[in-house]
Amino acid sequence: MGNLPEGDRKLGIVTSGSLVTGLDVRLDPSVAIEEMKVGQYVTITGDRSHFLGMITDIKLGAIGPGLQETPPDISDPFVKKVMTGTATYGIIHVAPTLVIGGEAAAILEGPQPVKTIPCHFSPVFLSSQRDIDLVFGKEDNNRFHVGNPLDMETRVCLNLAEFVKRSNGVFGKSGTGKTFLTRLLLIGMLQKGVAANLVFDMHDEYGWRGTSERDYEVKGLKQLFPSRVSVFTLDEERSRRRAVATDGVIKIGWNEIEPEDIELLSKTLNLTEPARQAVYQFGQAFGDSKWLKKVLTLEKEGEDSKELLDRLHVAESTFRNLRRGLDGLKRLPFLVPEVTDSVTEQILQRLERKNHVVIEFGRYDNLAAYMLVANMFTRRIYERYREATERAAGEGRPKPHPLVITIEEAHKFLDPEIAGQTIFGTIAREMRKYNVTLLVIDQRPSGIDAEVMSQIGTKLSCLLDNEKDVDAVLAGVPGKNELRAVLSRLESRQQALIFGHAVPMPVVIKTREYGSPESYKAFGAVDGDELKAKTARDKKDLWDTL
Amino acid sequence: MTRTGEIIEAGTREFVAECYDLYCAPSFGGLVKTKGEGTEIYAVVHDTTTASLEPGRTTVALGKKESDEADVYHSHPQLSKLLRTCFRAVVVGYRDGPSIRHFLPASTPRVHGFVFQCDQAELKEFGKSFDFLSLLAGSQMQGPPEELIAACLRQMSVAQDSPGDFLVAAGKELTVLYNQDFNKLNYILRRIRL
Repeated sequence: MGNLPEGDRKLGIVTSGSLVTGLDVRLDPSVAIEEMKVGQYVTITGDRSHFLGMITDIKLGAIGPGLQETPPDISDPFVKKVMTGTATYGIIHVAPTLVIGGEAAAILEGPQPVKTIPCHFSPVFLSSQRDIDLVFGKEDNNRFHVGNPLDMETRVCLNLAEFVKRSNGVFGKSGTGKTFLTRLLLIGMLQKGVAANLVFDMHDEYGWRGTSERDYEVKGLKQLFPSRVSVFTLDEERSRRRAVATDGVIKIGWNEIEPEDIELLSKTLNLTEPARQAVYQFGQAFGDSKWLKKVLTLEKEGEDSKELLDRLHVAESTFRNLRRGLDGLKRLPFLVPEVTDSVTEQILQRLERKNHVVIEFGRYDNLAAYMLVANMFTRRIYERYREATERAAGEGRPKPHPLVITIEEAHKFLDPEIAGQTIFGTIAREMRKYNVTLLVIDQRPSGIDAEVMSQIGTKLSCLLDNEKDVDAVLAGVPGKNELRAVLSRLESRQQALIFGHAVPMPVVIKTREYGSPESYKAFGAVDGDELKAKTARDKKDLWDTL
Repeated sequence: MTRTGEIIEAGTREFVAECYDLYCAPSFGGLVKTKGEGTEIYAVVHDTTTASLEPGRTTVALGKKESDEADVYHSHPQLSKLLRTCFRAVVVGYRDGPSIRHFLPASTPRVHGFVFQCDQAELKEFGKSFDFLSLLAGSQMQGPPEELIAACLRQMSVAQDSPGDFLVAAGKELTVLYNQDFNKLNYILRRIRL
């Protein structure tokens, strides 16, 4: 707000409103309406409590109806001065969200959810740095600085320990900074050590290097924290060309693909319903590890084939449909008939060592490959975590270190039709039981199953302008209509609305800077000799803990 | 402080005063004061008339042969005795100890009370509040009270440190007062802008 002194600047007084619909605040004549923006914070000093709220709408008010019919001649400076703030005035609509002082609970236990509203004519001020600090806390072992509120220098910190307890979502139109924000979150989780991350990096943006929205290169996780991040690739050649230091190449054996893995792909592979059923029939007949090999090597014509299909009650046309779909998979070079050394195991071990794993897809960034790999790994990892959690509970040991699985194009995995059956739907619904949660990144949240969306703990949303998407993101949120105005008016870059479990109140942030040497340093990344020393230290620590 | 006349008819809301000298009434919208019971009552001047002393006897045109207007009075010295100048003033406040109240006093002015023109210091002091504007707006004068409001504010503004700010503040007060009739508001604003 440029020339405004921070905090303690009186904006106006509360004139009407309700707890549900928010408060109307009449602006003082000295406050220019054009200085007000949706998403800004205000503090309201009631008789007994102090309230913190967010501006969700800005309106023009006039003292009587006649003014619209016979507007005054405001080209005359005198008339303009007289009219401004009296006959015509600004109104801001404020959604009160927290009580930050005054009440005993608010003083002793920090900000409390709002259960009442300030009295008539309570003065309203721009929130001060102190008020915001009180709400979002200072950066500490669990809190990570993600950005700043609009027009304020103060930091908004996300409680990542709380954040990883539930599945979370990053939403926004294409090009609004979802990747940028996700990269920040991943770094935060890494820096604070609150969870291990498994990132299915469809477009190679997180592992080694990525591109910023302004088309310059930024460092990925591995460059910043080499000893704590492993990059696995599906496309060795591309990774070599990009000079990425990978930790392993992923090859998937036909024997590793189970019928459930194909279930998720049935839409992408154009499989008919009978063909989907046939997959399970083959699985039952030949076992989970051999069925694919059998299907892919079965002669299309011939007596043997016919006999087998008859035995399994699979129609020939169904088989052709299934085969056509699976042949598409067969062409993926990372799929090989047999692997001995399972990469899944390597990845699991690293995750269990609290390491972070990024899987790069290289040229195989089509949906079929992405979904197959993501689903396959996730299912196995989830199984392992479930076992580990149950064993830990039985033996009275602590649960395994939390794991966050990051998936892009999430609506493909969490489509209402298949969300009930896929592992991602299960993780999203069962949430933190087994310490595995999702970080879903998506540009069409309306395509995600409503039940899954309702289980998402914290939502970080960049600009969304499609009505359905906005509805999907805000479903079930108090003050939905107010937030809608805020969400659809975000700037198209570097701004996001965060609301949900990990933040005490909805907040619009300008995301923290990422890409400059100073920013890398602020994240705790080191380079040069310091880096070598740190890597050696980390290695030692790692082996000591094993 | 100039003594300008004497009250000949008094009421709670307004009084009529006769000037001691012909044509020596305070200006339209000017602030005058008179003594009440233990207080000073302030009023704003309007409806100044100069007419024959006796209501039944109207004067006639006398200057056909005179070349100058002043010669009419010179040739007919009785005129200054047969004519009189009167003005009406709407009561807008009173002094209550050290402060001025901008509403009607409990007591009415007295007939034969002396009427004084207020000086600049009093105008400035009286202009600290605009509560009196509603009394002016409701006055039963001949012609629109908006004219009276504009004239009064113009005169009061001259006594202020910053006439411009004074008039803007007055304008804002009037905006509230005339929120149902912006035509009247514009009427006044056009008359008080500097």
